[in-house]
Amino acid sequence: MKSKNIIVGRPPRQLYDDYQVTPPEKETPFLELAAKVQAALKKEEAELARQDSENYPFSRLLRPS
Amino acid sequence: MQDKTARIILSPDFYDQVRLKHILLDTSFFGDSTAYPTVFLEFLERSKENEVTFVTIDPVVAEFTRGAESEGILNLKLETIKKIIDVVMPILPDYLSKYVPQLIKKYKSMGRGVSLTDFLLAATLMHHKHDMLLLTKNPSDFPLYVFSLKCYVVLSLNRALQIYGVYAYES
Repeated sequence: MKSKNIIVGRPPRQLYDDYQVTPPEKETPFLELAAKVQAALKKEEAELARQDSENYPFSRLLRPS
Repeated sequence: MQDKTARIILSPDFYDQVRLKHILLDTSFFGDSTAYPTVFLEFLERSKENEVTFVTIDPVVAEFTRGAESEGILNLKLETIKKIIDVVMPILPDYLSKYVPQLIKKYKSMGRGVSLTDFLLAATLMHHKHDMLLLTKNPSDFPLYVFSLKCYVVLSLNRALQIYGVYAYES
């Protein structure tokens, strides 16, 4: 059976060190985690839209190209 | 609200092509995995049964995590990446000094709009060309005169079809 070459890299856990954040105390199931990230992404999008409408108040009057 | 019709359709030879390979993930995969977690979880589990390893690179991690308003949100995004991938691949000095210049030469004028993240994904694929495939929804930055399309993954949604290509570097 063909085997994969050894890949040199670092485990994803080390990302927490790189970003200097505290890893969660307990693992969240993937589906629950995805729902939380999705809610966060929607909040980010809403914030960006709000900032856009403040910075470019007339942009909503433009026709989409 | 989650699209209940969402499903993943694989090309018939998908698992034959990817078995025992490392799949390098582009940023959109992480966004789609959180948007349609049920279908992506099944896809990830089935792929791991076929001895597939999922990997990514730091610029992709940065693209997915940027914009996080708080440490809590950043942490959630990092936890998502951690759940999906097995390894973060290092960006080796060769990538910028050797592979990216080679790619710029090959891409010619098409390279003008290609992001550095995409060049680094391509360089990673070049370096690990015998064992690695790239999964991306961005075919415009991975032209077929440089890469070959091995198989595909279709994300079928209520009113849209999104296609991921599985690319190899073979030359």
